[in-house]
Amino acid sequence: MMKKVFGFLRSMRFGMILLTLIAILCIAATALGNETIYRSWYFIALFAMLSINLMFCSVLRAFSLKKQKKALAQRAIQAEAVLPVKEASQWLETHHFRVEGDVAFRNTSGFLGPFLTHFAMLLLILSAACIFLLAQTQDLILFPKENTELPDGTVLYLESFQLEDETGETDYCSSLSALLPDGTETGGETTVNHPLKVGRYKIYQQDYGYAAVIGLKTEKNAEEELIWLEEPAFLSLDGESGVYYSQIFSNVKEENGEVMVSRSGDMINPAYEIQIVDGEGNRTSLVYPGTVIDVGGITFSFKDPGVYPGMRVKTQPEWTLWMLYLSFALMLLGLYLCFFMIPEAAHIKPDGLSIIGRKDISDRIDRYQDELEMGSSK
Amino acid sequence: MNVLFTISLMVYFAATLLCFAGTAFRKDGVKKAALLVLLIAVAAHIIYIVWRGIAAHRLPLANQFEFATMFALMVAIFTLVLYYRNRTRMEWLLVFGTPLAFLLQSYAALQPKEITELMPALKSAWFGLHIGSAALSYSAFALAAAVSLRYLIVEKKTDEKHLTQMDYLSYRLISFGFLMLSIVIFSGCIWAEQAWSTFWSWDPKETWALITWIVYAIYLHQRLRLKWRGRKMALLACVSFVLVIFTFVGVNTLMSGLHSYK
Repeated sequence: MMKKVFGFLRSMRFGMILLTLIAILCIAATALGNETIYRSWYFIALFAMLSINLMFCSVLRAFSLKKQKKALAQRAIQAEAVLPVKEASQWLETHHFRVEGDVAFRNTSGFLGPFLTHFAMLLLILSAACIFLLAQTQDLILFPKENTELPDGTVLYLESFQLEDETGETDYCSSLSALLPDGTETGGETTVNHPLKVGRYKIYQQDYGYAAVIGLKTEKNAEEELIWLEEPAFLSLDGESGVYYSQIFSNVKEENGEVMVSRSGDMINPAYEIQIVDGEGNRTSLVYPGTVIDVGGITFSFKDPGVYPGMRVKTQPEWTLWMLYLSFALMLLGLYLCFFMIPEAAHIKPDGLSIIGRKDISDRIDRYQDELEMGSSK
Repeated sequence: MNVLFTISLMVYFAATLLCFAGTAFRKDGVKKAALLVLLIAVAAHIIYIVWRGIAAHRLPLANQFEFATMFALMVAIFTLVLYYRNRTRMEWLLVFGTPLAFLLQSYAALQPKEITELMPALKSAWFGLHIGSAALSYSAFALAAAVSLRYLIVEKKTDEKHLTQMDYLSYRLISFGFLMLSIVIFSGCIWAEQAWSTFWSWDPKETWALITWIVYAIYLHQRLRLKWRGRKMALLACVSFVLVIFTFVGVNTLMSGLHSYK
């Protein structure tokens, strides 16, 4: 019974069933737009079973490498001669065969191909599982000249953010400085495709948005303080009169006395929608950058909207990364060996040379003989 | 220079007609003319793609049009390479490869052709490897499907040796395509980690590339371990190519995701 179960778990049939089920679930998930399937227990269970299948199959393949070579030699011994004896040694030499007794071999590294490919697949699934379990990400929004503290105590400060570089090309670049928990100061730039490494974190440039920028002055504080607002907020000294900022509009146009607005696209002709709350009641109004109003003892000075970055902060053990890269490299090597280093064996018989291996050997022999004939006719 | 694109499209069409005529009337002269015309189409096509790359200051692989036209060029080049390697035995390759290149070029012609600035997410060292290997992989699968289609058409009318050659050629093309598709997926994973912070996001394009990879993995296992040959393999190669087409056209048209670069 155990033997039967083990036989099924390591069988190719089981592997193919699992792969088919994974493919079917992927089709269903994309067709239904249901991404929860990828996190469901049954989807993860399929990968767990595939790992078991790959583990048994890789181990067994590792043990059967010598057997495969022997079997190939046996097939060459039993095969019929395809080249006359006089051409045998030249063929073996031209095609870099290595003679071992009465059988010659070529591309024996190809035997390793299936083992490497399956082992790499197993390693890949394990690395993906480790990354899934151990990587932690956090999305954050930071306004220029503001800082935030990360879970390990690292303080991140956004010096500036720009959408375009000095040549006018879009580059979404955040300049950051950081103070690590051990007191080390570090920093640099993060752009799309070039995350910044800060201590144990990697900081990715993910997104950007526009925020209202309003200057505030009071009698007590004559120096203007700039605030950035990404969400609606009521700005007031006494909690009763002040300005309620609700949203930002772009592409504001006035046509036939009517104001047309948009909330999408670039920030061209922006305007802020606000409510002035004072003794006269609430009045909704559209104000443009440059407008200055006094309400409830505060001077509100509306500036051009400011652009800010959306960043992703990630921690992930470095070894998971290298494990994944190793699995990629091993799989590509394995596939190359499988497809392009097909083992061949040749047996020198009294009546000629038999060759076993690639399926196009007869074509290659035809070509080889054509070349020989052309060579001798020259 | 867009006129070169139109010229190459028209010359592919002419080569297709000559291929069909040469085969239908069994005229060697017409077949030779078809080959010559195909070479002219490929030359015009290469000049156009090089010009586009120079004009755009980047590899011309950044949108559906550029990928489709590169796909067509790869199919045409693969056809010519295989034809010259097996000239005496695989003359028919031209009759299948040339119309395929023409169809792909026609699909490209329907796409917007403006040269656009590369968006920041695409400005990466992985860009060429990821998309270039996708073009190679798709063209290998396309030709494998074309060879398999011919296998199914002539199965009952041709000798065993010829069928074995077609069956083997289709397998070799699929094994090359599979290796390239693996490079596409792995380079995409590494790139995605740099750009989006995750190796895999189950984006529709990624998911369909995985589905295609799985189906071709099943093809290879059936062939290498269960020793399936001939008709079954030819059918599977054709069906699998439908998935490639869906990943290429269907996903971009019907689904939106991180790969929707418009």
